[in-house]
Parts: sequence; C-alpha cells; structure tokens
Amino acid sequence: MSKNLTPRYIIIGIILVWALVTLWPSVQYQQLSSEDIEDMRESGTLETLENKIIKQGLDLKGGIYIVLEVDLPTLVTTLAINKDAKFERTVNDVRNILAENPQRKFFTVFTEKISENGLRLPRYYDVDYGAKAEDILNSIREQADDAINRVLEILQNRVDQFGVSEPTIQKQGNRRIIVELAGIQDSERARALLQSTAHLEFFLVKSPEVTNDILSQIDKAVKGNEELEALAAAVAGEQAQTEDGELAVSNDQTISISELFGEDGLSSEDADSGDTAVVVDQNIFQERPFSSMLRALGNNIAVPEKNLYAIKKIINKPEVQDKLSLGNGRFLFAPEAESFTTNTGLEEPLVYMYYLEHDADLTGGVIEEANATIGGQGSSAVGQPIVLLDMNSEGARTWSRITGANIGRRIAIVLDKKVHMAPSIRTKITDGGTLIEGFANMDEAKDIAIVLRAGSLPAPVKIIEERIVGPSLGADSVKAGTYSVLLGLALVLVFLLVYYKLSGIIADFALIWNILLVLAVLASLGATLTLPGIAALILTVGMSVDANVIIFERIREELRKGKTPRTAIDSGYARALTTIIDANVTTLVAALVLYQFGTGPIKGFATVLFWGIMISMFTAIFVTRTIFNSFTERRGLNKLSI
Amino acid sequence: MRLIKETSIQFMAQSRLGLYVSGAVIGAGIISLILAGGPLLSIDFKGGTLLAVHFTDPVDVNDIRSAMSTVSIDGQPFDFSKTEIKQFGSTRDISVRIPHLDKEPANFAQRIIAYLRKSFPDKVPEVESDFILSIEKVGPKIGSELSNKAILAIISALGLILFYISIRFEFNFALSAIAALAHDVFVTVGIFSIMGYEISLPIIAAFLTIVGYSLNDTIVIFDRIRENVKSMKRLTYTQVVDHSINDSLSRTIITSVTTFIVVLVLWLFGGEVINLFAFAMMVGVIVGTYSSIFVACPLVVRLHAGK
Repeated sequence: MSKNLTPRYIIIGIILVWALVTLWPSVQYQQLSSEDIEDMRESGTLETLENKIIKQGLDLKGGIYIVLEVDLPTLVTTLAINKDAKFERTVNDVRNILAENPQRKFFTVFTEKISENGLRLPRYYDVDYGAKAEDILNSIREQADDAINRVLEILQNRVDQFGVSEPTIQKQGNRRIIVELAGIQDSERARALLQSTAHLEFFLVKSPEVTNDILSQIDKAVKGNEELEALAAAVAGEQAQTEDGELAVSNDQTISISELFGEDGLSSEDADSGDTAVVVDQNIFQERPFSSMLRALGNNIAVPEKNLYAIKKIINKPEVQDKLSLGNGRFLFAPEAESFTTNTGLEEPLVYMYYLEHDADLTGGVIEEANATIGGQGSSAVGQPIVLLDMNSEGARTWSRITGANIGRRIAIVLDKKVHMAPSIRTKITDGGTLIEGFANMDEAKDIAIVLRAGSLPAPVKIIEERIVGPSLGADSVKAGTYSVLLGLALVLVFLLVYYKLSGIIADFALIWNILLVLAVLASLGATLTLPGIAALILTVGMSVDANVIIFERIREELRKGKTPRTAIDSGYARALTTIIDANVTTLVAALVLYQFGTGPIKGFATVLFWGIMISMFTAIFVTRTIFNSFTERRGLNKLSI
Repeated sequence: MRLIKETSIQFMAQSRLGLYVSGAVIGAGIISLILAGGPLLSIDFKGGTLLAVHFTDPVDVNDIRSAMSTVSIDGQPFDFSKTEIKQFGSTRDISVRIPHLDKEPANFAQRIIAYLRKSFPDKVPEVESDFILSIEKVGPKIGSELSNKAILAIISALGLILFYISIRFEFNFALSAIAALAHDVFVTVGIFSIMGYEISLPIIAAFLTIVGYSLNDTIVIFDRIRENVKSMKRLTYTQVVDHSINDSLSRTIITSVTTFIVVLVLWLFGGEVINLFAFAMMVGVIVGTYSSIFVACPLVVRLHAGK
C-alpha cells in the first residue's frame, strides 16, 4: 500500500463535500413550512428546489397512481361509419371475451369474431382505411398507436392546468399511460379529469309525443317478453327489500305508481310543471312495466336513482335496442341525481332521462375557448357555476344553422354521454357562443372547462390500475419509516462500537457515510424514495455492516495468528476482498433483475439496493482501508483496538 | 469484545438433523398450501379492489360486515359481507378486499367508500380525504401480467446467479446454493401460508431480497471452503467444510444479528404498510442463515462425494 495517503483523503473529502452539497436542498426543504412552500411556489423558485431534492414516493407523500389504457373496442366503434346491430354485436362479443380472458389481444379476438360473424369490414370504414379487411385492421392499429401519443399530450395539458406539483405522465408500452400525482387530496376529481374523454356533443331532443310513443313501445316489448318482465318485477322486488323490508312487493309498486301518475306528484324548482307531461296515464304496473319505474317531472322524465340500474338494463336489451334504432333515437341520462320532494314529503333522488335523436348534430371539436364562471343576472343559472363556450368559425356556422332551423325545440348538451342540460332554442345563435350549466360545484365547472380547452381525447381511456394513498396514511408511513430506520441504525452503531471498540468507530463512520452517499446519489438522480426504498436502505445498512464485519473478523484472525497490526490489516483486507466482491455481486444481480422487473415500488427498492451495494463496496474497499492505513502509518502502533 | 470464540462444531455430522427440520417446516408449509388451495395472492396478482379507511372511533368489524351486505350502487344491490374485512393496524382502521367483478359500476371503489361514510355518520372524519387511507384497484389484466413478470423475475435471477457462481466457484457450489435459495423461498412461502398472510408485489421484492441475503451468506462460507481446500490438503472434504463454517461462524452470527435487529425494529415500528415486508425479511434472515450452513454445505459435501 502506498505510503502517501494524501490523494486518497482528497478523493474521500471531495466525495463527502459533494454528498453534503447534494443533500443540502433536501434538508432545506424539510425545514420549510407550508406557507414558505406556497410563497416559493408563487415566486417560481419552488420548482428549482424540488428538482434538487429526494422526491418522496406516493406511498410516503400520499397521492394517486393511475394506469390508463386506450379502450380499443370503443375506439373501433368510434372510427366506424354505417354502424349496424351486427357490427355492435360483434364488438360486444369481443368485449365479453376480453373480459373473461384478459390475457388475449384485442386485435386477434376482433379478427376471429369478424370472420365468425361474417362481418364485412370495408362496409364500416372509410375507403381511406383500405379496401381489404387486413388493410383496414392495420390502419386501425396505426390509429390506435397514434391515439395514445395524442392522449398523452392532452392529459399532460390537462394535468398542467390542474396545478399539481411534479406530475409524472408517461407512456408504458404501446397502449398505456401511467399518471402519478403526488400529494393530491381529491382523488375523485383527479380521476374525472383524467378519464373524461371531453367529448362534447349536441343532440336534438325528441318531442314529447315521440317520447311517449317510444315509452309505450318499450312497455309493450317488456310486457310481451317474459324475461324482461321478470327482470322488471325482480328489480322492483329487490328494491322493496333493500329499501324497506317490511313492505310487500306489490304494495311498494302500487305506492310508486300512484306517486308517479299523480298530476303534481312532484315539485321542483327548475322544472316548470309543464303542459306536456309525458307519462300521466293512470296505468298500473302490469300494463306499463317500464314507464311505471319512471317519474314525470314537468316536461322531463326522471328515473329514481334506485331504479337506474334496472332501467339501464332494460334499455340495453336487444329487443329494446331494436325499437330504439327503428325510431332512430337513444336514451341518455343526466350526470348526477338531484333530490326532489314527493307529495308524501319524502326526499327522492332522481336522475333526468332524455330521449334524443340518435346522431349528434354537432360535436365538440369546434370548441376554441372554454371558461368556468358564475351565471349572471338574467341567465337561467343565476349564481350557479357555468361554462362559457366559444366555437371556431366552422362550428359557429353549424351552430347557427342548427339553432336557426330548430327554434322552439330542445337541444341537449352532452358531455361524455351525459346530458348536462337540454334548453329550448329561443333564437338563432350566430356567434358560436353558448353555455353549459348543471355542475355540482365550481370545481367541477373549472375541471370541465380545462378538459374542453385541452381538447377531447382521440380515444376513450379506461383505468386499469389505480393506487391511492391518503395523506394521513402517507404521513404515518413516513413517520414510522423514518423512526424505525433511525432506531435500527442507532442500535447497529452502538453494537459495532461495543463489539469492535475503536475500530467500531471506523465501521460506524463507514455506515453513516454509506447512507449519506446513497441519499446523495438518489437526490442527484432525481430518484423517488418509496417505502420499499426505505426497506432497501435498511438492507444497505446490513450489507455495509457485513462488509466491515468480514474485514474485521479476518483482521482479528490474522492478529490471533500473531501478525503485527499492519500485516494483519493488509492480509485481512486482501483475503476479505474476494469474499466481499463475490457476495455483493450476487446480490447486485438480484437488484438488477428486480429493477428490470420493476413497476413503481419495486423499482424504487431495486434502485436503492443497487446503489447501496455499489457504495458499500466502495466504502469497505477504499474508504475504511485508507483510514486503517493512516493508523498503521503511525510509528510504534503495536496494538489494534478491534 | 468477542462473542464467538474459536469453535470446532461438527456441523456436517448434524446435517441429518437439518434435513428433518427443513423437511418438517417445508412439509407443514406444503400441507397448508394444499389446504388453502395454493398461496394467498393479493389483488396485485388476482385483480380486485382493496380499500383502507379510517374512522374517528374504534369500530367493530362485524358492524362493517353487516353494513357491507347491502351496498346499493344506482339501485344495483351488492352483497360484500363475504369479502375480507379486517382491522388495518388499529381498531379505528378497517381494510376491505373485494375480488374483481366482471361488470363493475364506474367509480366502484369511490362509491363503496361513499357508502361506508354514509353508513357510519358518527364515526367518520369530516373531510373525505381523511377517511380514505388507501385505495388499490388492479384490473385482472394487470394482475396476470404481474404474476407472469414475478415468475420471470425469480427464474431469471436464479439463472444469472447459477451462472455467476459456476464461473467463480464450481458447478456443484452453484447447484447447492440454488437449492438453498429454493429452500428459503419454499419455507417463507409456506410460513406465509400457515400464518394466512397474503403475497403482494412488495412481498415478492422481499423474497428476492431474501434470496440476495441468503446467497450473500452462502457465498461467504463457500469462499472459505474454496480457500481452505487449497491450504488444508490433509483434511477430508467434510472436515474442510466444517472448518470453513467454524471459521466464518463469528461473521455469520454478527451480520445476521445486526440485520435481524434492523428488520425487527422495522417490523415492530415500521407501520402497517411495511409490516408484512419486514416479517418476510425477518423470516428470511433466519432461514437464510440456517440454509447456508444446513442446506448448502451438506449438499456441497454430498455432491463432492458423488464425484
């Protein structure tokens, strides 16, 4: 070993200074109060600081981790034109198969079903997609790949406007996007923001007469069909049981029917009790099994929330769908239930239901600007949150044509297949301006404005994995994690000191140095510290101790053989070295495999473990060795405190 | 200070005892696994929803269970009383695990949480975000992908390790080390099954760490054997192995004890989230240390004799 140790000390010194400088911002950040953080956010200096600190993972800080996947069956349907029942049945079959066998690939199953059902693809897709089924499938696949990139961009945009610090949005594979939002409190709002396709459509509402007609047609279809009748009765029965076990099924039905068909059975503030009440006949349940589950609200129809499931189920039955497609119409619902008081004084949550033209008259690609505000005097939503829309010139032209041609009719403003409002058209609107109301609160209106501004998603996405850690669990975990790491560390430090005496100080130094260095590396890599990461840090403590124990035990052995401290250290180190390398490299292999395998938390674990092993090897071989050598350099050392 | 004086325990003579101990533990594990129909996998691998919520006052699991029997979402009734409902770290915190349903309503987890909040109005925090401790929801597709990945990870880790040891030592050593690792994983999975603990993604990470730790321990002894075989030409192979274990015994014990202290502290005070992880590590430290001496070494001796 070289006698001149100065260069080695200089290297050690430089590394130590680097580690402390790198860790300083993290220490600084810990000292900040939440007001300080807010101040820094305003002055724009927060981001610079946050880039330099060790990030805390969602499990420590609380937050949301969501994996989104492009919904291919819906994308295929959206892209298709001239859709008919056969096409929709095929897509539905594919959906069901995929639900049962999640492992299978969409396009394989789709191809299979196409040939099985004898579906002629070129009928359904524009010539641009190709003339042969194969070409069409390939172009759809390309569209899907392209869609994910645009989805990524749009989500990025939305999240940026939402105002979260350090959001991570990244693509995983071809069809998935991972979104991590740390420190967010309102998970439902974030989900809505991400998942909303922001698909804005304007549908004309069918006239009350036509609506009345379709309802009686459905009544007939349900009545003539034993299965559907049983379903309606069963659901009504279940309701009776869940709502009130005492009431007999038939009783409950009679009550609801008399409530339903009473002339002013329900009162409501914003629905003027109208001239064209839809379902007002004094029919009994047996005669009108479908419409008896509905309520009349002025000139609107509404569904009691508890009946919603049954109604949707009946609407989705093929027999009913056939009737709807004959009438070229569709049913859509309001986003949320509203509470109304019945004449018996009970509060009942009702969801508006609308019968609309099947095809949209205008879709939302034409939106140029969207802003949330409070409805002013004279508008229909005084003091309510509303969103003001501005359309581009093309949209404004279409909008003006539609409104001009349909004065007196109602038009439904539909966002993501939910009807927000259905006002009557009073005059022709020529400037492309319009407004949407019907939001639960201002936050919701703001979020909708964000998604409308950021543009609609080219393909619908669905959440396939979701992990939410509430802020309190996160805080508890940090506290418990930090506390146990410090306690464990303290115990080990004391043990080493007692067991190896003065040499224990060297081992302790090595241990602290290791942890500092691992943290510094994490900070400079911009890595995220998760709970498993803390566990890996603890394992690193073990590895670091082990390296020193191997060396010290070897030195002790050599001393027992009667060697001088200096030769004992030299040969102890030499013999321990291969052991340490072999033992660490194998663990390193495990860490690398974990990293490769890794999703979020495991990756965090592997990162810390990898650097922990590398650094502890360096420390044991280079740093402690140097310190030992400087002891033995001193003349007259004939006893080693080990 | 010195805890371990120079020892000359004849470990190899005791290897039969090791066989019985390992056999008994693994046997019990296998019986438990058969009775339970395989290891208890978390939603990470099976898909499903896991909720943890915080009440302001202690709640009875049975009250939650009866409330969960009539969950109504948009009029669609659900009976979740058969799902796994248990305390989560304290009497105020409850976790509910619901297997994946084919047709889940939108915002499924949030709707259930809203329902629970409504069902116990006196015992819930005012703000919803204080009520939610965590929500995990894994789709079945992700679940099956993760299990494939986990299996792939373990196999490739073992393969790489086998390769490395074969190069650095000899093939016999590699085989014995792998057998010891397989032993460790079997024992830990068996103990998890006996305790009724479930295997989640972090637990797989713990298993791999155990593999790493146990290997580390085995290699240190192997390294001694490799060294002693050269210098102790007069001794039989069994004696050399015994000698090597004794030589490194002090190190083995000190390292195991310090690591054990750290994971024990983590297990006791680390919090609910990390609790099972720490438990797996604790089992791993004990089993890993044991298997280096009583599984890997006797196998090396046997394989050597068979040559």
